[in-house]
Amino acid sequence: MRLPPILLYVFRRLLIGLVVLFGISAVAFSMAYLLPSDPVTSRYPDITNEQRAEMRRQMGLDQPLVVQYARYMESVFRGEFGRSFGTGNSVGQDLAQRIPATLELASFGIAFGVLVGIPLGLLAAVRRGNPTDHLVRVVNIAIQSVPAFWLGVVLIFLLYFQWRLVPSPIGRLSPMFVSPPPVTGFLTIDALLAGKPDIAWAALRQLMLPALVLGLGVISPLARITRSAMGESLGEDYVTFGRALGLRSRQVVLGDAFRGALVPIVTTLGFVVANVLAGAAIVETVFAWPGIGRYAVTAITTSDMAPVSTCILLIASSVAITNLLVDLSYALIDPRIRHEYAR
Amino acid sequence: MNMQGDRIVPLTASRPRPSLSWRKLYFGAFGGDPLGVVGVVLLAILLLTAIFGPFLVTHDPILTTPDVLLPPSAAHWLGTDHFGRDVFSRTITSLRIDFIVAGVGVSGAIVIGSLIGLICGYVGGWFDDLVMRAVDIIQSFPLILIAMILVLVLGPGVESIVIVTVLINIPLYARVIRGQTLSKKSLEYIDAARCSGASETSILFRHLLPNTVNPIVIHGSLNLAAAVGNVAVLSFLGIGIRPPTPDLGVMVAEGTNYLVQGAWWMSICPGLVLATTIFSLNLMGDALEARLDPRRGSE
Repeated sequence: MRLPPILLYVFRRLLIGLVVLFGISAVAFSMAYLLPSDPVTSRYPDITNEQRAEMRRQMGLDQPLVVQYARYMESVFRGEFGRSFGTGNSVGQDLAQRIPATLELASFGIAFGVLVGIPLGLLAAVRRGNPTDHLVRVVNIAIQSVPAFWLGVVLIFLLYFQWRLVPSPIGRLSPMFVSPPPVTGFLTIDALLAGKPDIAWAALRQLMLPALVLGLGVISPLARITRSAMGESLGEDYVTFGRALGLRSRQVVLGDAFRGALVPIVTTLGFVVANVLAGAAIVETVFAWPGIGRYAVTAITTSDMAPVSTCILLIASSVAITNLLVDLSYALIDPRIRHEYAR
Repeated sequence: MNMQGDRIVPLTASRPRPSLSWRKLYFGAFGGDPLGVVGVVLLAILLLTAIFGPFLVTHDPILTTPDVLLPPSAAHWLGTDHFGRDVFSRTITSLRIDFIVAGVGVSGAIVIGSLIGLICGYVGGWFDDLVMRAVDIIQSFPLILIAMILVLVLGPGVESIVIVTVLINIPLYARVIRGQTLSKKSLEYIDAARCSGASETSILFRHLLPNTVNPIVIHGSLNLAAAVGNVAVLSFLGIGIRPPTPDLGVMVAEGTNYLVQGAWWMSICPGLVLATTIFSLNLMGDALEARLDPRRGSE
């Protein structure tokens, strides 16, 4: 039986992705050995040399590097990522608590960025060369130039300390409210599911500022690529043809030209999503958001190796998965690419 | 190439020196784009402030005094911090350090990255494949994440931040210069140079490299903006430049603890300088890109 070409393509991409992930797992693992500090000495600073050697033997640190890596990978496949000596919990537990927080923040942030960035780019493309276009350009550069961590601090100072417009910028939900029973892990949705709109509103107010700061980083690359891709597709023959047929301008621009411009936009979106994960580390630190970004930063600053390696693996996997989804979505967007597979 | 009798002389020898005027510079470098000029002027002010920083500071930037958390006044233009240090003097000193770190880092990346890109584009083959796949993989990850991991390995400190800035930006230049080399190596002037007996090294460095300078300038200024931001982010997160060395990111981070007491000047002022620096570099880079990158067309 011959597989359909698109499946073959998916398998090939998955295989490449797996190879990359293995490479990254090796990097994540070797981190522990490149580190200036020794895991035994940092945990038990005042022990004798004999005790240290015994500890190292018990922890398997005297084995060759390859053996240690094999053991590490084996435990990763069992879902055991070691123990964080910062929180005292297993890394798996820690992550399970924190992933939903980051996902909620990132989804709202990306949604905000996409909803502002793409229309801005469309506006600039349609009004190319006009004052509107130049204004969008300046706004883009300005947004891109403001460091997210500082913007967070400024917003907290003005909106919380000065004007009291937002709730205390610490965490996902003020301690006055009881968290709804977890279903999706998104506090806003869970609260609505539990029939508690006041809690959903409180969670949303808490979420607003960090999501805004995170989403701002998405706006300018998206607006930029939308403008240039639309500039190209608006000059295509099929757009001119559509106009000549007497189709309404809105339909030609938003329907046909935008669809033609979608491939580079999605490429950029994939890149942007990867960067949002890194941006989350900064935003979560500023807003004391209990997500994986802050967890990773804390682990890095305290040389807590098990969480560091696991976070590297986690972020690398999400980047790899995002890239895969982007590649696959090309076939959905562009019939020409779909046709390539079918041949 | 210019023929004079049977002797080949390089064009530069017979070309008259262009006369330089502000008008020409304005229309030449930025195509009459006011944004680029705003960027350059802002950047020049900031650079001069950084260069002459030691003469401009009003107080010792790391001397602790009992005058803690004073608001901006005639004695302390931007107030004082929690150790009684002058925020204005610290901001200027930080700007200087951050410019040096980002500047040295990006220059290092340009040199090493261009070299790698030049060799990849010129030689091709398995070496090119290998390097470019590595570049693909590295570039699909957020730079700041790679930077964090590298700082973790190298340990904190100004030197390791410089090294990290070099390392994370090499792929950008390797890719750009490789593309440029590939597109230019089969052009006629390279053939002409080879026919007139130029060595491979001379072709690489005297004929190919100078013709890749446009993208280096564009990417360099945008990249410098990103590098200044990254250095500050690392320091803000506590894994970059460490106190007491003044740094804009460190200053913003320290200030966040005193917002409750209303000491806004500690965070806001250094951050504003940081944002302006990045803004000016981005403005300049964007204007240069609009002018020099043929793909952007006329704007």
